[in-house]
Amino acid sequence: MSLYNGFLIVASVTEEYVKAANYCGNTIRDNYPEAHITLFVPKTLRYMVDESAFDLIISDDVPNNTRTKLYALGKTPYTNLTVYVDADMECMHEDVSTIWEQIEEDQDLLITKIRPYNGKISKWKNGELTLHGGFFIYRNVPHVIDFMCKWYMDYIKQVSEPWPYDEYEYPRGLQQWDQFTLWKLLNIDKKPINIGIFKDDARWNFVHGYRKSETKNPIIFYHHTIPSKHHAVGVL
Amino acid sequence: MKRTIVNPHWTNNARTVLAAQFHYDDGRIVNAVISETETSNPDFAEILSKFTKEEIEKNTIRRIQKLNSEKLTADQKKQEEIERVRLEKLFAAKLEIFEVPGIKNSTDRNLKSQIRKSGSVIEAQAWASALLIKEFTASTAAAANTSTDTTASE
Repeated sequence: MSLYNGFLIVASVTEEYVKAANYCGNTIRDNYPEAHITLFVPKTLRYMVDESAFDLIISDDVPNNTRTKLYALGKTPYTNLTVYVDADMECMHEDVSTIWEQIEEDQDLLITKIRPYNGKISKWKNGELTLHGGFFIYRNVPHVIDFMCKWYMDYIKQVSEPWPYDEYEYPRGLQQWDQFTLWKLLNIDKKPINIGIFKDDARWNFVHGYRKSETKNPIIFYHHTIPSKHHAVGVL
Repeated sequence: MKRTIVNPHWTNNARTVLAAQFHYDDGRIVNAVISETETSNPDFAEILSKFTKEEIEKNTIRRIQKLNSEKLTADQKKQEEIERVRLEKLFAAKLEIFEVPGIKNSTDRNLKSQIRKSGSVIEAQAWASALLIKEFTASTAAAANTSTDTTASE
């Protein structure tokens, strides 16, 4: 059976992420019972999964590291649209079912923006991280899937090789961020991906620490923070 | 040394104490509080000679508005921080509730959904208790039925 549109969640590294992913999947289901939800989880953590939260659970060959997410993006089971949702997000509103209408015909990827006041590193001499990699919707078309695969491969390279940049121009603190890889692909490699920003984007990805004034409408996804999230555990 | 007096305004309702900034030619800025004294304070007299009562009143109103706005922003920030902490505690509590075996293994999607949708820790705990009681009642009834069946077959 071919799967058309669906949600993709990834849980790896620690049990906390699987618990959060179970919760995340169930909250999507609570608000949108017809949603199709896929979980990518390494075999070693498979025993923790709440099967009722997901329609499809993929474990074969799934690596267990901090960016299993990037591995999964290029392997989406959905033939049309995939919504990537960080495991530590919580769906809070039934308007989640309108997600498929948010992306325009000519857009490859629809994403939310980082709020600089809420981030760790957002701006440096030669650039600025503006796109939030924790929640987005993308199309299953060859150039977008290639882009997702490249994001994964380049990230592996980024964290496993010596930092190739002048530290004054690109602070070494950027090395750990997959969002920097995304920035590089778009701004240095100039990959032709048509990116849009969600209308009322804070509603779709209301990150812990955002000001209440970021949206006047009910929050659809609240982005919590798992304490160990940004620690280098199980790196490649 | 030459100085410019900037933004003089009243600091009390009785309009007897002024505050202002003295900008000196060497770049120094001094925040001064000036009271009328029995022997007459020269700074106080200078301000009243250089600024009209209306100007000082206007500065005072602007100053009050600024302080009120700052207080409101600080209060809002404080409230937002309290709410953020509350939401994280609620999230952690819900994750913990779903670690309880009787809840984790329950197939009652409706009650589990009520726990997830709870707006407070108390509400989540109340729904969790309801689910546990339901599961306990069901398992007790099932055990009683099994016992009755066994007795009947004997």
